Amino acid sequence: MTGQDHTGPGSHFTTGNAGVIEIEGLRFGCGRKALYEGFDLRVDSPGLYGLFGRNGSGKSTLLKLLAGLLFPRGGRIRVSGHEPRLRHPDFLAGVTIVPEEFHLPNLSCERFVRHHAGFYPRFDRAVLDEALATFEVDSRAPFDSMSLGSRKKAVLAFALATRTPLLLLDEPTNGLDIVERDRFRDLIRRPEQADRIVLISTHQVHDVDQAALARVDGVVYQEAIGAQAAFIATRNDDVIEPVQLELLYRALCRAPETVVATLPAKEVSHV
Amino acid sequence: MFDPRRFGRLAAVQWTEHRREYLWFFGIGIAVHACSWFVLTEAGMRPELYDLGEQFFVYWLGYAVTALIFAGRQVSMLARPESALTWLMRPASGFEKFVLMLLMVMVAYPLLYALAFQVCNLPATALAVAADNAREAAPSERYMGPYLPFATAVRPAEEMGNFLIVNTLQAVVLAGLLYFRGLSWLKTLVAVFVLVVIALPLLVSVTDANPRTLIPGLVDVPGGFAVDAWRWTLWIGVPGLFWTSVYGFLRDRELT
Repeated sequence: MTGQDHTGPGSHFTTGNAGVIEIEGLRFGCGRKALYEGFDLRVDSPGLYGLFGRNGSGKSTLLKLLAGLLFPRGGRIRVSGHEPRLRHPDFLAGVTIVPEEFHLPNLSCERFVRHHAGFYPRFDRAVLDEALATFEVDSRAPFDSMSLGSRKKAVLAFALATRTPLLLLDEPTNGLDIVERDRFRDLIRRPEQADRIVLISTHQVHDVDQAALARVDGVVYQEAIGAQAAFIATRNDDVIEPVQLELLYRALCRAPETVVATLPAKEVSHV
Repeated sequence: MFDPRRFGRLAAVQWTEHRREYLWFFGIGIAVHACSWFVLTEAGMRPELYDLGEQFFVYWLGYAVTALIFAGRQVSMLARPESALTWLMRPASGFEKFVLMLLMVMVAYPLLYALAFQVCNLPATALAVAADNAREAAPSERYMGPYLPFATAVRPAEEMGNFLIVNTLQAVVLAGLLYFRGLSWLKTLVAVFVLVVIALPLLVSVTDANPRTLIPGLVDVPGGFAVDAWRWTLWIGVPGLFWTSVYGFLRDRELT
């Protein structure tokens, strides 16, 4: 719900042991508008997570908070043991974020990679080459000569190749045609991406349903439910099918309390 | 906090991404300098008047103006969310990013400016010398050779004073641009004006209406503890304070 608070702890999704994303009592707002008020979230197993919400509900803001680009007004955020706001080099080398709108210098993809790959210890050139080939991006062409879609594909390919433990994608399929969305879906589900947390923010289930996330490991749904928020997650083996996902999302938008009441406790927790 | 290898990588990225911008900056600076000299001579300024004193004046005027713009451009990427995100997410510590900025502003720019200045200055001095020799009257006794900062011993104390003043102003500009959001250049200029308005009467009263005594070696006046203390405060403390705030603002920078 646009502009409403996301409140209440109890959002916990775990199937593994290593803590990666921990949010406790997050408070954040834009001006006087509160976006998060006591928001809790814990994601500690690798997987592909969708972050859904309406326009202005704070999806991109949450990604920026996790990346240390915005600082919480209260509460605590930890990502792989680091406090994001400190922007420690080890933390930055472990997080890749692809924003909806991005800046690229006027270099060729090849040159960009040559200078930036060294920052990421697990950077995989083979993954990059495969992604660029899949997306049909010419790595020798300068970014300025590319279309918006091609630039986005180059950025996505680089993000996939960094293999950082946390990958944050904000509306990754915006600007991509249907074919490219399918390709992106294939790439993001490759085995080499399986050991990282991929958090994808989108405001259209349609995108997720149709192409990007045909199968998801977990769903982080942030939406105000009165004075509380719900977090919905499934285990890796409880894969949500696209149709179920869309139905769930629509139902949550219309009658969240009813949906939450009917879901199993292991999948939904709210206070 | 500071990893030389990572710092080297950061510097390489900075150079790769911004080298065109730097070349354009110096290209425009050289062109403006050359055009100004041409316009002035066309407007009646005799070339032979372009002696060491004139070169000194032109050098430091040009340096003061361009160094402030150059410093401001170091943080211009932070004004746009897209480029700010790229810069902030680059895996290097805030300190490394600050040191790189400091080196660019305090070391690289002065050296490159000195080099770029000579591109215009050497032909100009050659013309001035030729004009001076062509006069019917005996050649003047003024020094007509090219001015080399800190090498041609004209007024070394004044040179150092100018350098430090510009350096302090660079730190003020950077701090202002990082602190203020929206209309940051304008707000910074207003802040500088307010600072000057406050500082001038203070300096005048401290130095018995002769602030030049605060520049070591410029005026032969007995120092004394008070004057020395003010000199240190002015030349070390004030720039240090502003550069420290630049580091703080840079480290705590959020995406707008």
